[in-house]
Amino acid sequence: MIADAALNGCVRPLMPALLEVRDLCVDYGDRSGHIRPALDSISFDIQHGEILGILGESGCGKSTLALALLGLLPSGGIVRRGNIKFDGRELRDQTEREMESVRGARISLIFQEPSIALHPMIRVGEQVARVLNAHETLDRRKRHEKAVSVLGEVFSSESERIYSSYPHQLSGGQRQRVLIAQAIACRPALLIADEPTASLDSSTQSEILTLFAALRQKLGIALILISHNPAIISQLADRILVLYAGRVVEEGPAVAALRSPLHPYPRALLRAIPGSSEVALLTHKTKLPAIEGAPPDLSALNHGCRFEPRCIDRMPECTDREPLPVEPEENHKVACFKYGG
Amino acid sequence: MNEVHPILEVEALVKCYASRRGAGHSGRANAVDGVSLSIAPATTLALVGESGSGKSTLAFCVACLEKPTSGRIWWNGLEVSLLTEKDLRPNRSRVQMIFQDPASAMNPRWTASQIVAEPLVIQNQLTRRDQFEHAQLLLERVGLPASAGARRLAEFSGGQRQRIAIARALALGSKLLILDEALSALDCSVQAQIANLLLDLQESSGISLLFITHDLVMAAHLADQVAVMDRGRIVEAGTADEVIRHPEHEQTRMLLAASSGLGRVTPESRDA
Repeated sequence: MIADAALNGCVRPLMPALLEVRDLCVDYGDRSGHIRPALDSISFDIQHGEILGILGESGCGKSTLALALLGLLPSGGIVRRGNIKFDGRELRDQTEREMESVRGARISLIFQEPSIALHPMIRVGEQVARVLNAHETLDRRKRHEKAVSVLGEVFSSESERIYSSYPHQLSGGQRQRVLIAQAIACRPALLIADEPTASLDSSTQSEILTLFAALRQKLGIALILISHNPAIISQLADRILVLYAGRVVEEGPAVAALRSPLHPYPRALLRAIPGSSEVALLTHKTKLPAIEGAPPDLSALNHGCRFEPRCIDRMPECTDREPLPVEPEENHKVACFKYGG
Repeated sequence: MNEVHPILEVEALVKCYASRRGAGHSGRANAVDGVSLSIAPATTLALVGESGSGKSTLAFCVACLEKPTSGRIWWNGLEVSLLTEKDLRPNRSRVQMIFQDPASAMNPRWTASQIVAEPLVIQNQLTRRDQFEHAQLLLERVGLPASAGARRLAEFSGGQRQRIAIARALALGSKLLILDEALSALDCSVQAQIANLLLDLQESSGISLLFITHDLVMAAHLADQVAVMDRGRIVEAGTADEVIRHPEHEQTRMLLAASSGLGRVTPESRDA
């Protein structure tokens, strides 16, 4: 029922949000003391059972955000400011020990490359059982039974055979399912999937996305789905967050925000994909309307809007200061001077 | 002898790997099972299929990097499937290959211009100085700034590395580029930039492309002809327009559904 409310996108449930991120700023510093900002004033909520898509190019801070939420920033990365409130607890105040009981049990992370995330010489079932072992006290037989039953939730058949397979005996899609089994073994409230289908081919891709949809429905797990590909996000997300150069440029219900985005950046991104509505009208073998250039270097930013150098709708005020988020449509926010900002 | 040869012609190509011992590997069918195709000058053929459909094996055979079990291959009228490795070598410059991960085929300690000049050094063409000047021109031609030549691989993004790979493939004046999932690892916005570069190069220098991908929509946008592969065979082929508007084979419809724009999945479609 919770999931149903989230499915409708705009319904604001009365329960407190599962995850509340406020004004999160992350920097990377190197040994010479040089500081490069990575995330700037990120705020968003996730309700229980909701699927939030995070869209943006490489280098926009999507993976940094995922790691920051779990307190797993690589060395040099620091959360400079902000709050991460999960299930009523402020995660930034937790000790490392306390975070260990959150990671993998309450919030799980699924990486993009399943062949790297699995140990090549341990049977995959045992690798699922080890996640259980880290968070629960179970005897050997119970643990085995539970690992098989978790595998049964992500594989439609043969979970015993999968249990005793090694990673190299499985296909890419099967390995990704094993990672998902590890991630859901302890019944987390939130899954974070960072480009979970990037290394898979198209039909396996949609099988994995379908599996996420089923897990949300069955177990009520909320999901943060991170991707550079609007087509992937559109298949699952209830709401989306568009990141550009470390800032949120747009946030809204997925259907509206992907069908008719407000911010010039996601609009340009969608135009550049063949087969998306506007390009369907283009004749074949003509140039795609690509966004020229690349995201800016965050250690050398100007005063203005970060997308201004690549924006086709730029106006004089865009170089003066950064636009603030406004809400021109209900629950649909955008940071662009075209809408006030 | 006025007849124009196709840039590439393949007849009844079969590639069968000796089956390895171990689970799931016994009794495997041919990786490529009797494929015939041809590519006219200055055109693009897209080969579309899932992983495991045999498209990469076919590409390796066509580029003479794997020896086919049977079948014939011509490069611009020259039957390369008959040549010995020694006779093939001076002809290798006619066909170049670009991979999904260009960095895995580049020396990370070299500068971009060293990487691009390498084929010229190997084939012993031009003087040392001209080799680097030529590399500089090629880097500019693929849209990299003049300063790029002196920088090392780590300083480039994925899209820029793919541009360097394309520049290197052009160094010897190849008439056919084989792109094996060359766009798949890139961001959507960068995919569009590289796709535009390929269209540009084809228009300005008349190269042919064998574009291998699982993205049927991108394939149909870039190619003149599209061939869909499934389990080692071509199951559907035609002009890009025909294939995308009137897909006949089930595999084509599946690939089309999987790569066409924005849609939604539901929990019910699981294991369908």
